[in-house]
Amino acid sequence: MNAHRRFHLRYQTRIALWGFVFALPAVLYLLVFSIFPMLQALLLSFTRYDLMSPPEFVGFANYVALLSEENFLHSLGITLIYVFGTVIPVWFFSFGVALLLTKVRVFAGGWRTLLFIPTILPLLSVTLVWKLLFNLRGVVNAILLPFGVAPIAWLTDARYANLALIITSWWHATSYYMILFLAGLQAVPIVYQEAAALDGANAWQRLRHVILPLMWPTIVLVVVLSIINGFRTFALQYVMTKGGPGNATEIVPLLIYKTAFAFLDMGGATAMSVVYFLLILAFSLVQLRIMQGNRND
Amino acid sequence: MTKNVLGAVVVYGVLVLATVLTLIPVVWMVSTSFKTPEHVFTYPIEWLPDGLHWENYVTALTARPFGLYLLNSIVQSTVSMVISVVLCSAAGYSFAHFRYRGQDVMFIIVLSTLMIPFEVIAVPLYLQIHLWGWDNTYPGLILPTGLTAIGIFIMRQYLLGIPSDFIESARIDGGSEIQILTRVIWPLSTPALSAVAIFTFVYVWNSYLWPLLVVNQDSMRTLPLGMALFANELTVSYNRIMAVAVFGALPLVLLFLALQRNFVRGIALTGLREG
Repeated sequence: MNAHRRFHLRYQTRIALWGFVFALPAVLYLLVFSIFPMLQALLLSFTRYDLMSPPEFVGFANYVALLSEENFLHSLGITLIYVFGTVIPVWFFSFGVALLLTKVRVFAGGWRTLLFIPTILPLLSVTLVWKLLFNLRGVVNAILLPFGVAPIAWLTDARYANLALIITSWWHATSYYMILFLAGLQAVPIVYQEAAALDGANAWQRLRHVILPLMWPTIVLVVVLSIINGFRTFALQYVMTKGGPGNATEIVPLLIYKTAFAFLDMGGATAMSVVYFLLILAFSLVQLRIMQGNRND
Repeated sequence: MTKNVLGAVVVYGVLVLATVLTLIPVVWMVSTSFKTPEHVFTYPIEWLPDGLHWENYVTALTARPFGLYLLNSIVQSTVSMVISVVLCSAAGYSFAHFRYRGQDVMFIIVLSTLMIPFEVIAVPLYLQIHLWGWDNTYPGLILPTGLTAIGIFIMRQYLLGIPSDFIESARIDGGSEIQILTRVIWPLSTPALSAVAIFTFVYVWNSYLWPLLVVNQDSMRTLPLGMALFANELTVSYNRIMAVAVFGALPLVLLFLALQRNFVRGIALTGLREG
């Protein structure tokens, strides 16, 4: 009996050990390539470090400098305009298109595949095409010309550059979130809609009282993901405008990149990174809170 | 009845509009890639090329070592995919079906990395990789972005749905723990595995910031870096830039065509991307 129990215990321990072994590589990997660099960013943000001489502790000087520095505040503003200018319309576009796709009977799979194309294209191809479309003599201006719009230097005029980048992102992101919404919509049982229709609910009422509540988890997912993904923009600006003209489109990741590798100010760059990290974290937490609270109503 | 017809007209009208807006840049990219330079900027717009000038592709793709860039991107994306699939499935399995001391701490570590955007750790990560002398090497290019932490969650969520009985009976049959992972868990979780695989491949294929930091040798450049570099040369005309844009899009388009269903489901399951 005793021997049996000991065997059983050993057996349990052995299995538990395997569980540990299975998780260990991934956890170590993330410690080395994610957690450790984050802590290092935090440490470096309290130093002056130019790669030539060793880091020198300067307390909160980098953070104080950030708040008084116009560059950073400007970049934060540009980033917020880019993120929300992109995601808010994209929510409506992508939800609307997904909703339409559930209504069509003719060529149903075909529409979906065509509308999915922007997601399949690599980001770099997308940026290069839109750079051409927004050329002074490009397609966008050619389409607007008959409407009496004089040609606009989209990417080199500070008044329009951000709008041009935002439009590019509308095009690229709508297709992507459409897929997420479509997956959510297809999970809404059709009988609920039919029952509501029999009860005399019109299309708007069905949307408001049947589809939206059932879609809420998907909506939360899309809202939170799209904002996080928006904050993570880099290549779009880097390739299409290099942050210009001047610093008109210099979103925070680009400013961090320049501060670190053009001005060799690692302390400043990591301080920006930490502030940016906290900002994104705060946005995500607040959103989750609001949207989860909403659901309980 | 008329109300229904009106509804259908609105539905299909808006859908056609959305599709046209979606297709214009794609058509323009392909069309321009076949044009002669004089036909790129014309008014009124010439939607179709003036002929199939394949020589645009030849001159563009031989102007820089695009074959090498392509190879680097394939290696980078494929290795990352393998790393992610193996490590995420093992860790996801561990979090879903084992109980051991320290598990909570390990899970919290995984959770917290999801909150850390790569752009925020890029600078210290680069300093570290540089310190190790990994600039311009495959390990330096691949490892820092090789594991997608979200994959661990996808695997865990999926594996929670698999009854423990399967695992217990495999143990009774004398299977080793590794065998259970590779011969029981993997075959049972192919949808989640392919989602993680496709997502990682596409995500890494599109990565730009990290390769930009860690690579400055032409022979180590990835396709996105090479494409941007080519496009920024002042003497290059747009028909050739579009030829490169089409070339850069082909691998993902082919991957999509080969795996259509899994591809869409992979996107729907993961939802993260850059930009």
